[in-house]
Amino acid sequence: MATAPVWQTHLGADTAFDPQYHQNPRVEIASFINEAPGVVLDIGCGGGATGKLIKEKFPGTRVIGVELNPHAAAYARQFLDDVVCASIDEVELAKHVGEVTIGAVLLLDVLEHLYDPWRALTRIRTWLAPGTRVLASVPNIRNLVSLDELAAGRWDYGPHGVLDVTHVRFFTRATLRRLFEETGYAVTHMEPLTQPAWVDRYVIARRPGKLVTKNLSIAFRNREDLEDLYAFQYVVDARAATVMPDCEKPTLPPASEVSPIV
Amino acid sequence: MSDAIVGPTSRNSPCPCGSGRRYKDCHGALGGPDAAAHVPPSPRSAYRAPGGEWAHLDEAARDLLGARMEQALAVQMEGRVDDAAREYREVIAAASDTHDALHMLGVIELGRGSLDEAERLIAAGMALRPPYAAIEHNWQLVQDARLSLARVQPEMLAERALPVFVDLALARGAVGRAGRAPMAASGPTVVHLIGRAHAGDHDDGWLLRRLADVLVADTTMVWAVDGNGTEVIGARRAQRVDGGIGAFPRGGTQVFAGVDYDCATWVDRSNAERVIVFCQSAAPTRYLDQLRALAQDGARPLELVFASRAMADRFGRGHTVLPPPLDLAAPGAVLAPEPDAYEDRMMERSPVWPIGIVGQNQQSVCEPPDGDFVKNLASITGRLHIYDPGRFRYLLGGSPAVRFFERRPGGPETFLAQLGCFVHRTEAWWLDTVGRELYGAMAFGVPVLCPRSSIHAERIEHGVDGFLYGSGAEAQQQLSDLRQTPAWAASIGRAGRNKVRLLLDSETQTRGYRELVVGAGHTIAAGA
Repeated sequence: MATAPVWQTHLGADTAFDPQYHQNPRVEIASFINEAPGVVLDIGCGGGATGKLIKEKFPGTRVIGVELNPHAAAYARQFLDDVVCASIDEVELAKHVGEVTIGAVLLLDVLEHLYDPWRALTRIRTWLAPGTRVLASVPNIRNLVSLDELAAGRWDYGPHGVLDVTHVRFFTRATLRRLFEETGYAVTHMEPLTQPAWVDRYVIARRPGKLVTKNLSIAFRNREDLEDLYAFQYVVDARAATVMPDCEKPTLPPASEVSPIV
Repeated sequence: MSDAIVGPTSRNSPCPCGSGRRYKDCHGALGGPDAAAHVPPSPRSAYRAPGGEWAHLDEAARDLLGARMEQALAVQMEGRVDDAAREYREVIAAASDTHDALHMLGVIELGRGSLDEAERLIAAGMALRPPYAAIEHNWQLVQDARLSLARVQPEMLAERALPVFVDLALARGAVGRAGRAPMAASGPTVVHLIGRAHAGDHDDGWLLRRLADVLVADTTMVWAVDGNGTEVIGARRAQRVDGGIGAFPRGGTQVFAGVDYDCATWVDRSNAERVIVFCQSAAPTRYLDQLRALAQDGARPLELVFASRAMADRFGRGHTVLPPPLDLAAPGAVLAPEPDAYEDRMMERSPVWPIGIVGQNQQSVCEPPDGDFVKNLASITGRLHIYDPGRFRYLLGGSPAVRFFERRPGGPETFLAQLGCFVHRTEAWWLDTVGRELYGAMAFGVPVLCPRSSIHAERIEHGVDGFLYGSGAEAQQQLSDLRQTPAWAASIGRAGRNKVRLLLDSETQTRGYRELVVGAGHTIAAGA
């Protein structure tokens, strides 16, 4: 039986609500929150499962969700305190929820879906007091599985995972740190979320400082480096910096002064 | 009609479905003689097996099985897997083609380690429906479990081969192993320290630095097998080893920190007068490889130094044992806290008594094998602290009883300073840590529990300065006892602190290490 290609079934903002995709509570993200967070802004809240989990872990937490998919947003309304159905580029937070002091922002698997995550982060920064915590999870393109498949000439988009067909940006540990540091945040911690059971399947030999898969042999410097290869995602723990980033776009020189590429 | 919904003898007895209602008000109302007089109760369960799995059953039976499935899923989520398994088996007894029951029971059997049964059940489930992501994932988990079993087996074989191998390979070096190696009588010898410079907080990288500090002298050269050649270790620039261009240590006493790196390309040409290996935790197959290379298949004597007798004994007899060169007083290392800090803390905040563990194994990236044990720890005092949690974030992230401490420089101290008790865990001796957190907890006066199988068990006198445990149940009992008698816990902690101060006393350690490497008669000119 032929299945429809993934671009036909999974692209477009009006994609139907998929419980598996939108309703998966991120238990591991809750583990990064050790103290009652106050008001949580969950951007890309999906079906609200993670917000619900945090409310259960810390009763009294108020969770405001922002979700683009109207089906998911409608579903999330039964768990969260407020849900705004809008895109991050357009949402006027104050208009919907009034003046609130946000205690923490969750950006779980959101930034990689945005054409301009820099602008989104800069925009979010304006809603936050200095020192406000931002917890983001973002796929790690430098994982051993993607590297192995790329080495074999494959870069297959799928309905979920690192190469989800709706992902438009890809990051490594270093570029992810820069994304935050250039948009007005101080990164306090980055943690690779490792998937040993999944990645070990690709490993056919281990040598000191080296892993060998079917299609490549890759050196790692130390344990952090090894963990990066085993991780499909990073968690970025950042704080809104005291200095606001310069939001102005760089001025481009007039077209007449740009020499044509020969 | 299924057997599962045969009613009890009396219609006033509890319904067999377990709802707590009388049979006549529950499933008895569905088809009994007075059924017409009642409005049939609304279905008790929303779950229905899709497809034709339950086609042979009537609606009442489906409702009952649906309720069983919902119940089973609920208790499975709570972690009561035995109860869940019983329910699934009931469902399968009534309708053997129930896909979800086969699948979920397979998952439970996987968790119990019954791989054959798990594979059989999940395969039976997969035969009933077209594949989908979740079941393929679980199928893969079964295959992975088989794979990891296959990976462990060579290590167990290698472990048995170690003493034989060491005796054979090192036979010609017996002189060196009988006592201390004979030192060249004249003049100081050049000491080459060789190891990984960039191992993060990995034990080897740390060991190289520590040895360089202890053996600091003009005659010491530090060689890094990794890095870019700009590392400064023990106040001198480390030289990058490169067998290809002839950059490697030659002659003198060569001290190898750990075994987890490659030296096969140059070690044959290094002509060491003496070779000392500071053995750290590493897989037995790794040891076989590396020691064979270092000993040049028996042509060159090796001296092996271990951090504990238990570890040394795995390699045969006659090896040197020195306490791990942890420096608990060094800046940035475990601080020496106020003598009564633990007791004061226990008195002022009696309700909070966190149990502490380290989450990730430091040798590799892997799934923790003792998830259930750790889950139980969280329930003993209602507070569990996990340092470097790794995969435990997935297992316990939603629990308000658990607090997670990310791995970072200085992190262990913050973590240890808050504990009521520290529990050391280990899988196999070759995966055991250098014991930084275990000894660190003792230095903080925090009572510790250590597995009997740990290479560090010999340093703990059970019931005097710590506890040894064999099983999870034993550990839980010890923790409950300690929790109830704070004064006892404090006295154990005190004894542990004194033990560690003696064991890891910086001066004694330095002397021991120097004596081994340069001989008692030759002191290295410190800082010269």
